[in-house]
Amino acid sequence: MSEEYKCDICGAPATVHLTQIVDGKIHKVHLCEKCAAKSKVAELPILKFTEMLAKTLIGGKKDTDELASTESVGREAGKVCPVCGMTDLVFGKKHLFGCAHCYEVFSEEMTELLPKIQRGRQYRGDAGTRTASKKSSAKKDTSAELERLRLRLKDAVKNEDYVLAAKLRDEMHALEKPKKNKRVSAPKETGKTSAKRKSVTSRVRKSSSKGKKE
Amino acid sequence: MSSGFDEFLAGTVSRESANEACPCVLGTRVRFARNLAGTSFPVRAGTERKNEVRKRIFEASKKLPELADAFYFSLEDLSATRRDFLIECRCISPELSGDGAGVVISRNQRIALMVNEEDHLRLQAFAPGNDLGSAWTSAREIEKKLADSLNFAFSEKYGFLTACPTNAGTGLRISVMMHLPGFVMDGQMEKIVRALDAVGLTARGGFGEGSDARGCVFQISNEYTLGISEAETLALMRRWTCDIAEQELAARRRMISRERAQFADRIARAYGNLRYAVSLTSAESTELLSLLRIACDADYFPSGTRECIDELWTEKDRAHIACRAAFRGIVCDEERENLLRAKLFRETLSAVRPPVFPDFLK
Repeated sequence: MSEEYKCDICGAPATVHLTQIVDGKIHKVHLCEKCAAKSKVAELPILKFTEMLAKTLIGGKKDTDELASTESVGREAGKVCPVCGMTDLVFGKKHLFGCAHCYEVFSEEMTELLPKIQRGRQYRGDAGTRTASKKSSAKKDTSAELERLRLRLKDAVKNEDYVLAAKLRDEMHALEKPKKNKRVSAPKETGKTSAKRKSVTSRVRKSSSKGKKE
Repeated sequence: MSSGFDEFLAGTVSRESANEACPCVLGTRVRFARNLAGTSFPVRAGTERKNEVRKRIFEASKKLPELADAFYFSLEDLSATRRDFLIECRCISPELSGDGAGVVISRNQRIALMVNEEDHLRLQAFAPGNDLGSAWTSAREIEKKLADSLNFAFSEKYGFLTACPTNAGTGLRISVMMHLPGFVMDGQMEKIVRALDAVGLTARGGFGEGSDARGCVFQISNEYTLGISEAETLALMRRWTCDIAEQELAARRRMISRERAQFADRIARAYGNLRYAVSLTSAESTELLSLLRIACDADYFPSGTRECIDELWTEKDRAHIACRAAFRGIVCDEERENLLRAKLFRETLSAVRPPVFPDFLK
């Protein structure tokens, strides 16, 4: 899906599309209804307005385009999903998760984003009963998965692929002691969320054994 | 099981007509977004992995009695025109394309599973008119059956995990396609969009995110999927779409009573142009057809005309004209397309008598 139609600020579907020509250059801004209303679109010059919104809404973080350009220059990403390789730089721009595990890795970003795009923070659908039975079976796979990762790590070191090796190491850490693993996921975590995290990781674990081919 | 596009094409000739009771609504769709656990979402998956996901979903759906004889298409096998045909039928979104993408469409076209769009699976059920209940029931049933053989990514906190966090949770999006010329002509649409936003709904163009609202067709859908249950979403959509339809009809009545003669004139001209034109562009026919649809709802045409107009609504689209022509062995460029479109309108409207108006001179 094209990112053009996502809100530049919060990633929700954009309904307000602005185009401004400054010094012969075309600048386009896409916003959702809420972000547009918050900032009184019509009264502000667009360029200034994007900066201001980025500051006020994302809390002083750099504007998304800037984030993207730093990535292309090769600056290292702050957080990388060990399963799919999604970085916080790309997530910050596209607001798309690359896999189920990303929900954990970018939980901080998600917490920030949620009030702007969703009604609540907690799932309230009726599929609760469905998952209860599946959880226990997922746990068993941990040791097998660790062994698999260990082998892959050995291969990676042998092939001098240290980027992959680092990812695998982090992944193994995450499996061994999910609570202490602060390198990959958000620094502050309450007991409540880490309890939830387990259920996500267990799912990832169970199935990443199928994902060898990629 | 079948993958013959020609066979599918032949099956789309006579569609079910809309519900007479709800004049402002063109159709309803219930959609679930789901991903397979343990596999990267399409945005981070290579062709090989996407193919594997498609295979798994196709195989799972072939086991369902509802989809055993369905059409299974791989998007890389379809020409651009055929893909557009599916978009115009609303079976797929404009975003579904590329290697590994696929679609499963049931014989009666009430169910369409998009594979490897933004998420691994986008399960859609359609119903004519505002029959939310039947679309909901069939979507729900298929989803439950598929969940038996496919392990969907799920967390207790975020519910069903989707590529875009705006779909996480229930993954449920209910859309009602509404024809709202009254609001548009009254200049009220912006207000309506803001009001919808306040209650947790959004209005988009007829073909979803980022599309334009040609012919005054809007897609009204729920905005939130997290922190809201399926039942609440359904109730929210039921309540507000009925409200919108009522308000829209009131806006039309106000407009008609305010400028009766001018309105009648526009309708008569729209009918005349569509009935006798030799060449019609897609944009022009959409605008004119929108007027005829209002006229039907205002009883200027005999009953039964709206069904005819609703059929034209899809048949007039570019890829529909091109695919139908290709089916009969005619190669279609833009000029020929416009000629064929005009011919379609001349033939179809010859069965519809001209609109009847009261005498405004009295």
